[in-house]
Amino acid sequence: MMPLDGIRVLDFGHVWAGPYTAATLADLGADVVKVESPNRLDVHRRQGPYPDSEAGINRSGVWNAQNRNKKSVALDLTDNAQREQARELVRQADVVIENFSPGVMKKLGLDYATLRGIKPDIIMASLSAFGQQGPQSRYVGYGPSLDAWSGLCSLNAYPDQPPLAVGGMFPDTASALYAAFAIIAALRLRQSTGEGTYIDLSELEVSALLQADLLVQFPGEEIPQAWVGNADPYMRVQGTYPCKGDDAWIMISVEDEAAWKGLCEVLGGEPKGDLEAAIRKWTRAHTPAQAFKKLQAHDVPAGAALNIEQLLEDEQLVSRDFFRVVQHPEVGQQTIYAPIWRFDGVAGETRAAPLLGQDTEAVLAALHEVR
Amino acid sequence: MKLVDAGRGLAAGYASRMLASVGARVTRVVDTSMPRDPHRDADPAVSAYFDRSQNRIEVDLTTAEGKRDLKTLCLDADALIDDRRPKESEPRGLDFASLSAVNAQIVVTSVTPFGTTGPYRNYRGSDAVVAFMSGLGYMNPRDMPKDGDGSSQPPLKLPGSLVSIYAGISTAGAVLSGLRLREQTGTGHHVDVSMVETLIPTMRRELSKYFYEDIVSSRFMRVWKLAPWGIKKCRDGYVFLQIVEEHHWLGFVDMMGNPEWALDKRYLENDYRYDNRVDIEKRIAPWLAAHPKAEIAWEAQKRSVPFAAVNALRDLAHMPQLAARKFFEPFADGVLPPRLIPGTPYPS
Repeated sequence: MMPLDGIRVLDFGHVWAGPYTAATLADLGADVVKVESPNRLDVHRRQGPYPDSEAGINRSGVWNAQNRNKKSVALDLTDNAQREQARELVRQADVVIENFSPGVMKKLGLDYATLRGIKPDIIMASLSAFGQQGPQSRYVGYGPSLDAWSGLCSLNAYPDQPPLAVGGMFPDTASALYAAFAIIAALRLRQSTGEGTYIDLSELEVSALLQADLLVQFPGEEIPQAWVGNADPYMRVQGTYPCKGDDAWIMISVEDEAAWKGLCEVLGGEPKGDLEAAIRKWTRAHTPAQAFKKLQAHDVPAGAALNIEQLLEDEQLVSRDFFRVVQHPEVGQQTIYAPIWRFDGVAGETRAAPLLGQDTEAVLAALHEVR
Repeated sequence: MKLVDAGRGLAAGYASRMLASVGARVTRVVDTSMPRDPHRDADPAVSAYFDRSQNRIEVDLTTAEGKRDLKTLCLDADALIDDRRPKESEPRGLDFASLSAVNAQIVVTSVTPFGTTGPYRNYRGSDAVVAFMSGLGYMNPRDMPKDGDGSSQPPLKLPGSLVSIYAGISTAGAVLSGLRLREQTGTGHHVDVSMVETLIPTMRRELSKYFYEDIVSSRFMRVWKLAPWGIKKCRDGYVFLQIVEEHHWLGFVDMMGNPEWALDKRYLENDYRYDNRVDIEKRIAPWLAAHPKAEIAWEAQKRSVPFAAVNALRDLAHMPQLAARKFFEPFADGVLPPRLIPGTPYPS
């Protein structure tokens, strides 16, 4: 039994934000049908990396990772008859997710007003860079440019150096998790009111919220340098220290007295003079893994700068079975990550991503049976 | 929904704030037996923001009286959020076994750096530590030209309190999912959110590169082989250039007044631009240096070119889009100077 058992989701998403929203719901047990236009494929279906460097629309590592646990229905949404079939799918659905540019769903006749006419209690989430309305709603933006617009890059810098591009794809992934939350909240609301909901989510606004504590602390003001880069003015000690090895680093954060006491124990006593030099001398004598274990054993928050290879071997993630192997019909064995929320006593199934259109016949046949 | 926020940090606080925005009645339990979290409790504006719509009680959860107060609060609670390590939660009666003995219907969500099982379950972590242990620190910043052996360019943690707030967004969804599961099973549940695990799906591309191309991504690698690309200096700050498609290049050339060098048809091909990116950057630098970021972004967007102004946080208050959507809302509690604070990322 899973939290979203019995919930039917139509995923019109592409690239990052929409598909990750739907994948999050699929991990919770929702029956997610991805509607794909064969003549306008998700850009990630056409981008590598591919297994064995062999390109193919069913072989993209990125696409397959973020579309696991879904079904695929191929419909050309520019064709009247097939668009009608999409609308029929809406009639049977609880949730619709899309992240086209504002106005595209309306052009396709699949906007909220139309879908509400088909299914009055439908819940629809539209994720866009700037929101559906407003003077900049038609601005073009991808995840990395939203890091810039939102101010995230301005905090991502070495001391007194220019802003830098941010790792991860936070405008997209944070928006997806926010949208998943809003959808589940809308499902709760529908239970009590019988009403559907339209969620017009702005990725720019989610990105701004990732800095909410600074926005409220320094309203309209310049953020002090003490918050930029690896610094944290609320920590007694925080920094990145070089370790034994090539490009080997450890992060140490000393927040409270217990951590300070632990750090002093590790260093062989409270350092006299240059604290930073004393820490560096100690870290240079240890690998990141050794430093991590020794510091944590003394209750000092510390973390090695793991690379992907080390991450996959990390004993915590291994013990929690975080990386799992699924069997993909075309690719064979594929390693994917576990659902990010773990419910006691509930082991959800993890299925490989679908081949393009593999469920079209079955899903449309089921539709006719319902009719 | 009745929610008990027993968390200390920003992740629990942001989750509670989100849940309050959809109708939860939140009581924050401040445990006096542990030091206050500096990020959530040091600044009154931050405390007010994260504890909005909340009742608040202060108890010492290591005492019998404090534990009794917690149990009373949880008798009819739907959910509780905790962010302590198991070795801190269990003696305080905040673990699922203790709480479900009081209220079999309660959903307990733990948000901790590494999760509540496994060998690191009792390890400590800050935002920066979590960023490093997730693999993201090693890759941040992106697209960094290596300076010598790179020893002066250590990995960077993620900006500000992003890790905690991101984990808070995740936790809010986890709580609602736990409540839905309760409807299905008729009983309470424990939901385990590891902050490290929550971050890992942001690295899908880098994981695929490792699985299928044996490439270990780092901050010194270019993620996208596109040009021009990245943060560049302009007259009053920085802009983010993104040329993905041919029409983006044509739009940019038009913005620059169609200089003769840029009309060379070979530049229409990204591969050619990428191979000649250093030369292109030298050629465009004087034009960028003569124009302010807002103008560059505006002129680009008029031509559907996805350039961005690299904003400081203070610039957000002046973005017409955020004003039109009423993203910032007035806050006045009679104690702090009135100010604008961020609301929800969708019209409510």
